[in-house]
Amino acid sequence: MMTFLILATAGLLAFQAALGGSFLLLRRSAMLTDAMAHSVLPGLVIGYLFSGSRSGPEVILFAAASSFSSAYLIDYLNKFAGIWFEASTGFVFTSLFAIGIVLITTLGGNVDLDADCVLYGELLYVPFRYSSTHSWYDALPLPLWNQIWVGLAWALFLFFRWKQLKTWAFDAEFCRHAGISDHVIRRLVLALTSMSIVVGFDAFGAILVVGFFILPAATAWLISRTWHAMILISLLVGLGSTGLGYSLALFFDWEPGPSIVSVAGLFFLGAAIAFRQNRANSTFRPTH
Amino acid sequence: MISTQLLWIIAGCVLAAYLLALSGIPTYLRREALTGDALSHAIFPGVVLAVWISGSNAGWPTYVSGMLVGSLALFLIQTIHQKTRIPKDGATGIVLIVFFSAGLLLLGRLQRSGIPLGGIQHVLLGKAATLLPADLGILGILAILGSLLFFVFQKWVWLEAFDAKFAQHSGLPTFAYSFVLNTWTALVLTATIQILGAVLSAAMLLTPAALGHFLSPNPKILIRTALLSAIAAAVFAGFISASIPAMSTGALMVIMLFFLSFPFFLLYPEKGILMKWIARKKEARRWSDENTLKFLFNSTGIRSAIQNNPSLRRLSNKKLVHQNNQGEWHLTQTGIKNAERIVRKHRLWETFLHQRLLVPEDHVHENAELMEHLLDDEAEERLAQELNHPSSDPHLSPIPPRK
Repeated sequence: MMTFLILATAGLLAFQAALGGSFLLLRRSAMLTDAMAHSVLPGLVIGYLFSGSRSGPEVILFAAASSFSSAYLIDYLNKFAGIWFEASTGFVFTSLFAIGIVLITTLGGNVDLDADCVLYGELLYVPFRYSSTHSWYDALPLPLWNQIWVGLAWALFLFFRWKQLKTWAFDAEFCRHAGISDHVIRRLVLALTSMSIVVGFDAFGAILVVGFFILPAATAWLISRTWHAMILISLLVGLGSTGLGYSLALFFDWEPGPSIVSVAGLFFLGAAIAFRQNRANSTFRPTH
Repeated sequence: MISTQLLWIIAGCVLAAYLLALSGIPTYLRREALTGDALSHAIFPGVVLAVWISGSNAGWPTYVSGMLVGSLALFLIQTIHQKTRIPKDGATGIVLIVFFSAGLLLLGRLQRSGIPLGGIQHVLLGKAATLLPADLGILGILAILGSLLFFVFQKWVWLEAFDAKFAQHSGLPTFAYSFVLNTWTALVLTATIQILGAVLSAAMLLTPAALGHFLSPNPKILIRTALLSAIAAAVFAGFISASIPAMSTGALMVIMLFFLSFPFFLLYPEKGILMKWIARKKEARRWSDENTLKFLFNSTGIRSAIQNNPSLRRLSNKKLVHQNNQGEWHLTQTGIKNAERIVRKHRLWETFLHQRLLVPEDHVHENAELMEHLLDDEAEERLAQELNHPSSDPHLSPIPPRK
């Protein structure tokens, strides 16, 4: 049951990451997930100050807001100050990260946030964290609920905006000419991504979240030739590496997060060697 | 005693910041700004490996293994990008996260087997207070070596940044250049992440060069801005972190640099976000004022339906229009003069389009609506000469003479 709850939570994250990761990879913004994961920090500290807990709804909202605003600021500096996209990414997220660190150290011992819990998360505690409101909400662990809500938001977004998303992911230029607002779609994707990053971060730590957003999507992109295949394969890679990496971690007494990411890395390596020619002449490619 | 310690820390910070800012310039100009971030995470397993083998994180094994693992990571990014056509930033992210995870797995093994870890926990967040004189010596040697390398090979750096293909054709050994640059950056990051932390070293590698390049692509200005801003941030951060021992020096440095560079991004003439916004607003106002003047010129004595029209308010402040007792707006003497200029430009342009470009007379108005705001005095004069000072436009309306 414990394992099932962990895997269910991870599976829902894998679903969100498969979508968000694929869109961002195709829009050449894969490093944005890394940036957004780092930018969670100041929001986390401020949320903690407000609520006094490390994973209340305030913390999640503040962290998501800070993560989203980093993505927004990156786009803004890139567009209006003409700073290269990579440079603006690096500038914004490192600055926010630094602000977060200074906030933590200024607050001294009052903040129960350390590097270990931020990096590794508390995957093993996932099945033991309940809302303890003594209601129907206690039926499932809190991290699983969080994943369910954000997963539902993604599903709704897909259901209502599938065509626009598909158009946007491949050709933003065409998207604009077709009368679909490129900015609105991008911001919606980034907002949902920031929610996913924060709830994922809360359950599993930064490493696993970034790994989940980048590796399965890249692996799937190597193998697949259509959208549906890409999303399905990246979901499978996410689930497969969770199962395998988690088992290895239990068996060898490793840290589960890094172990899962390493397994996903091996999946990518295998796919890269086996399918390296697949992309050469394919039209299934991102544009600028 | 305190002051010597303080001097050590500040010297260490300044050396580290100088090294990173200098090495960041070529990397930035090759548009590989995020490579520094990838590299500073990717050398982590190298550092852990060195600790495992040699038992401490000070000394040459760390540098050698950090350099090797870093070069391997950059080689992999390049290979993945070229062989599989995954976008460069995707490849960067993949290598970053996988190498970092591998490092964390290794670190976990080490912690469980009870091997003393030295200062390895500082690799993530950095700690300048633990700086040893030996570290300072290494930083100093690297700084001298880096400056020499940079100033000897400066021409290559600019050539490669300006046009990589051209550089290759004019005999620059591109592969060797990349290899040396990558290895050097890995070495510098290995030396600095223990003082500043992984993410923050990456920031110090990128931001000074970004600021320099934002101010001017001119090499001299770029280098000076990058180095000076990095050193200033380092001195500030060193002072503050010496008085507040728990504070992360790297984070302070990055925040200083943020506060140093963000005003430039906002306020730098002609490039800053706010300045560009103000210039756009001004231009829009000029157009709308000119349109208002023209409108009043064509139909004088208009009762403005909108009481608080901003364009009318601006014009009446400049004494170009005034409102009489019945609330009607009229042009003043200067107002008429200004309006005539705009109408003249409009009608001259219409005449030009009709006579010289043979545009039908019912098609010339829209284009003249734009050009009346864009023609300057000299162009207007030349246009009039070219058309032999016409007295009326294609619609037979008089063209006001120049006064």
